[in-house]
Amino acid sequence: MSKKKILIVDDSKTIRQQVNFTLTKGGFDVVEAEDGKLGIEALGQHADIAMVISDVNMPNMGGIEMIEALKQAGTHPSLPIIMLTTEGGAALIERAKGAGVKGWLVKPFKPEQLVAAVTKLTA
Amino acid sequence: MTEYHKKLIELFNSSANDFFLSTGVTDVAVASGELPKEAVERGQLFSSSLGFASAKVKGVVVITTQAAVIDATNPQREYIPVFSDADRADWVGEMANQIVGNLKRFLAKYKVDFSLSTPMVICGKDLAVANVAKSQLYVVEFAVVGKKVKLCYSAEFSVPVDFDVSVSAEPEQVAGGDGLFF
Repeated sequence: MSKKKILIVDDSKTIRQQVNFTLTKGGFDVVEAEDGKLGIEALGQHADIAMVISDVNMPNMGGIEMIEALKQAGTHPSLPIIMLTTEGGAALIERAKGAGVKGWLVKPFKPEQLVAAVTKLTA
Repeated sequence: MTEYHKKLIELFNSSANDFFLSTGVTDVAVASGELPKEAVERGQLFSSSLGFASAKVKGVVVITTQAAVIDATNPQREYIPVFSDADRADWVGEMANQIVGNLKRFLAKYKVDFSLSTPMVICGKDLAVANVAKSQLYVVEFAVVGKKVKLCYSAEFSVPVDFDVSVSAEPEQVAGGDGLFF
C-alpha cells in the first residue's frame, strides 16, 4: 500500500524539515512548499496529496488566503487542511473554519499530536 | 520606568522565556532595562526583526544572538549534525515569530490583538544596535546555554491597556503546543 502524501506549506525551512521528519517517521510521504502560491502549485503538480498542513503568516500568499483561494476555485473540496502557526486568536480561527479548515495547531507542535491528527484526517 | 512599562517588559520576558523553555533548553537567565544609546555585540551574529500592528498597538521585536544559541534551540538539532548559516538565519527568524506569537496570546488576555509581519533576518560581525527610534526601545538579555540573547522591543499603544484587569482568554485562544479540531 502506498504512503499517503502530505503537503507542508511554511516559509521556515526549519519547520518544514521538522514536519517532514515527523511525518516521514510516522509513515507518510511529504511534499514541501514555501508559501501559499507555491502550495497551490504543488497541489496542481501532485494530484495524490491527501492533506495539507499550512502556516498562516507567509510572504507572497499566507495560509488562510491560500485556503480561501482553493475554496473559491473549488478544485479540492474534500481535501483536509490544518493550520500550524504561532497564531492562536479566535478571529483568525473562525475565518479559517469558515474556509473549511479542519484543525488548528499552535507552534511549537508536539510530534505525536501532529501524527495523530494527520492519521485521523487521512483515514 | 513606569509600572506600565514594567508590566510590558514582564509580558515580553514571559513570551521569550516560554519560547526558550519550549525548545528544551533549561539554563535560561534574564536581565532587563533600557537599551543604551549604542550597544555593540561582538562576533558573528544573527538578528531577526518582526513587526506587529493593529488599531490598538504597534511595535517591533528584534532578537540578536550567536550561532551557539540558535543551534541549541533548533528543533532539528538531534538529527542535523552541523547547521549552515542559512539554517541559522531561518531559525532565528522563526524564534522571533514564536516569541511574538506568545506575546499575542498574553496580550489577548487584555483584549489587545494585532497582526504579525513575516520576520526579516540579517547576519554579520559586530552588530551595533543603536537606539535612534522615536519610540522607547527596551532590552532584555537572556543567557541561554551560557550565551547572550539580546531581545530589543518597543510597543506603543493608541489606547492605554489596563493591565490590572485581565479578561480570561477566549475559549478558542489556543496556547503553544495545543490544538483545536473542528
